[in-house]
Amino acid sequence: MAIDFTGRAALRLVPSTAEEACPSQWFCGHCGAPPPNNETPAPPARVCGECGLGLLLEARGDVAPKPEDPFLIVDGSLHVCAMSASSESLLAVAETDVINRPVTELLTPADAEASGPGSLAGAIMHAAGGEDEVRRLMVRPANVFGVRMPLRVGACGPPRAALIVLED
Amino acid sequence: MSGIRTNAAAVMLGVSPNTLRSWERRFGYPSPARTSGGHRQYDLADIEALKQAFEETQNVSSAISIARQRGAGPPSSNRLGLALARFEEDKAARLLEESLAIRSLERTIGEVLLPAVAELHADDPGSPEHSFAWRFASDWLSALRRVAAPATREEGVLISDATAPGDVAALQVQALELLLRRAGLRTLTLTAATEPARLGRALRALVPAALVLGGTRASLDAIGRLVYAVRSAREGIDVLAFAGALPDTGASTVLRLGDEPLAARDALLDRLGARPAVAPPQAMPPAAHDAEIRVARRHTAALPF
Repeated sequence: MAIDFTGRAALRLVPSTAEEACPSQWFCGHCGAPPPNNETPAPPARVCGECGLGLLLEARGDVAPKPEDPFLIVDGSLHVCAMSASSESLLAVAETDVINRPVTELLTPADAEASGPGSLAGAIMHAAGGEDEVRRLMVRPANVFGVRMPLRVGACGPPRAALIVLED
Repeated sequence: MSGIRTNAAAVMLGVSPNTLRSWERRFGYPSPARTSGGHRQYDLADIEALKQAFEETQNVSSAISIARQRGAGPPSSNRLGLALARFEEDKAARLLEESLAIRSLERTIGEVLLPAVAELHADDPGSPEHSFAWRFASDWLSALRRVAAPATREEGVLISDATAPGDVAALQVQALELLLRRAGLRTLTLTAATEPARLGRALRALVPAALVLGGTRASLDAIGRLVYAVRSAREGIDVLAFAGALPDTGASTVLRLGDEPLAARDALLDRLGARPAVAPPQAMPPAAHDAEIRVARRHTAALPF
């Protein structure tokens, strides 16, 4: 509130302090392709029309992968639920071999001593719990030394899970 | 065989028919049966299970894994029919075992086994699928009959089986005999081709309280001779018709038991329960008894109902 020269109180527009809404994006859990025209898929049509091997999932636009990005879907118990075709190539594993296996068999935090939300496990559990914040971490493939990969972790679903996108 | 075609299954899952076929190649699931024309026919329960699994996971291979592990819900006549139509004996046996975990044996027979075979019979009674299914069901019922507990009641039931292999009624008659044995009754099943005049020893051994006519393949004349012979040897014996043995003209006093084995068993037990206790068999010189039967032989035209 301010006082003008006449001495009367006046309302003034102040910048909003609310968090800006981030648009969500649908993508295929196997190939990363968005649905046709980026439209929200109808409930019975969750299977990706591009590859036919993934289900369409929703995530924030700033965490959702682009087609061909390597990514994994991990649940709150840190087990792998889905894996993109490109991450199969990157991590040299087959999706069918790692489904329901602990994600730590594939990825290890580069900072082994990190704890809380800064750790890989913490970030996954927060995201799988529905927390909206996007976290960025550094990991390395399990049993491979000297390779470090940045990744981002965010929430996705349905059903609710953590999306881990391996970045270049 | 009931089931759904590829296009309908694809619509249910929200995918294209090509995608559905690619899953079959890649994952082996859902695995459709084939019609005689070679068209894929999916089990509705498989598709429902897969659709449900899609809601619980994030990719197709996980959903298929879940649907496979979980199975497609309680065994049904449709699922059993599909297994039989694919000649999958082990799967059919497993489905019946699973059904026994959630249903009584009587209900498993009436709700799963017999309708599955009846449906294949309705599709094409001469098909190998039906032939296999009939034999499988007959063997299954026979195995259970062999391990049925000993009789606990005095009453005996004579069953005249006027069916042929492949008849649905044949399985119904077999099922009825099994259910009667499990209810503690003594049973004896004879084919309708048995000569009525030579029933003497069998009747003496069983002392039947009821004669159940089963199946449609006996002529009225043959039935008449049989009933006359049995009634001549055992006065007051109940005669009941099962599985279409007698046409329902409205003029007969013979009780119709329908064609559901469980309902027939209950009706028969009610009937026997209302009767006074069966008198113990009286020793009758075989010669005298056979003479009685010979008398019955001369009255072949009599229809006592």
